[in-house]
Amino acid sequence: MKLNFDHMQLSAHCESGATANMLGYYKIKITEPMVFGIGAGYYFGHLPFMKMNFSPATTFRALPGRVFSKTCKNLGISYVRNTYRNPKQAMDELDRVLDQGIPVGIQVGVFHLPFFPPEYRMHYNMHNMVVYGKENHAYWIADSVIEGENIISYEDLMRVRYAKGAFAPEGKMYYMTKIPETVDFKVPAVKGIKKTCHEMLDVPFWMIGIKGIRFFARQLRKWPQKKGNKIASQYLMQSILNLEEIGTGGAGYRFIYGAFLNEAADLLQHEELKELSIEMGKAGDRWRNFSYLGARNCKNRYEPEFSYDQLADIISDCADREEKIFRKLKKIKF
Amino acid sequence: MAEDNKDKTNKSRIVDAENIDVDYNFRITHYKMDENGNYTHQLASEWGGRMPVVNQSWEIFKERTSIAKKKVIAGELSPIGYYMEKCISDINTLALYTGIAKWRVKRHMKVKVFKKLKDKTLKHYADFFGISIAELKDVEHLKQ
Repeated sequence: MKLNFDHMQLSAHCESGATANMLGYYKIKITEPMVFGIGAGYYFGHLPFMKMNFSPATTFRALPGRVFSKTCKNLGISYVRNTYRNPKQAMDELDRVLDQGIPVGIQVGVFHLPFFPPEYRMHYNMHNMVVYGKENHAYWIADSVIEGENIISYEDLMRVRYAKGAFAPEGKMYYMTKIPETVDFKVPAVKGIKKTCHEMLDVPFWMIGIKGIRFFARQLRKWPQKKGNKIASQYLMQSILNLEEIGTGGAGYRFIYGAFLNEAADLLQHEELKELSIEMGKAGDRWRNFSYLGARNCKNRYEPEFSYDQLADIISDCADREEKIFRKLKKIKF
Repeated sequence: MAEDNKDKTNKSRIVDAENIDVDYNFRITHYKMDENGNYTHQLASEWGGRMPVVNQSWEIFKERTSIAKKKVIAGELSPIGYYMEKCISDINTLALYTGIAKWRVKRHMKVKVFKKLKDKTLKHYADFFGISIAELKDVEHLKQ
């Protein structure tokens, strides 16, 4: 059995893309930036105590699953989200829901995922994709990051759904059960904006939000003296990888969020949002600038081309710009 | 292009840090803003600095693998240590995937302990590494 999934749109962020594609199946036209904004996926956190590939973790996204559940809640859609202890039970449940004609989103680890390009297949467990059909012991997958149709065997799917490590998926799957007849994006968009403002400005923890960006800049300055050029370059590489490579749409979701603000400005008829979307794009350009210069530092690990102070200054500038944007955004009355 | 990718990756289920085949043409969606403040998105394989960053991330794994290989040949480390680095894992992930406690995995890194291991235990490791038990035990073929 195979559901009709012709409308699939490619996207940068896997979870927003999966959610947008699932909504598209129910004839709700929504773009990826809109899902990302409503789901409040925008985030920043620099967490030195958490190591990813032997380097401190820098995250630009919220916890996995947040975008889907927030989007559904804000749009008034009922959904089911579950994890299963027993792999067999998880697969049976997936078959049962598919038979009812409902596309199912699943969280997987990419290490064993056969159709993923090899250079991305690290121990990373926060990838999301949609299963939309089963045929002869194999499943049809709509992966919004990969072009083309993908098929995965039963064994492989079970293996990736039970990947181990940080943020292990444990067979997590989610699907929508009840869709309201009319869906309006206006109120949900405002709710998403408010949530993001709160997250970036008001969380009283120095590793998260705008404070987190400043903390990251301070740490960046210390790396060469504390760890030596080689390790500093490795840490820098990992943060740029998180910033540009793993499904962020460029500059750590800043461009996607700008696109969302632009779309919301048209939706809510608000001129100020349009200005802020341009500001957001400029902040994104600044982040991109950091990645360019940082990438050139990665060419030679022992002799950095640019000083780390210079790079940290760019980050501080980004923090200032973003703080201005979110302070303004918070004050807007809709 | 997607077709080619499938063929390439289906050959081995496990990523091999030593013979990694980076696809520089893999395209992902990129968003950008033009001068008028309108946003567009397109598929692109490059944002300006992809090559040095991706190359370096794999260089680190390659370096770790080669160090582990030298140690195994010198008899300071058991082959599990080498294959662990080859599958870009660390002790924590290896312990989780094999179901063997972390302190035992650490112990199995010693050559003396590794030689005494039963086939039943070795099978857990061999399954994760995607090789046979005989291959896991054989140190000689690493020297070539």
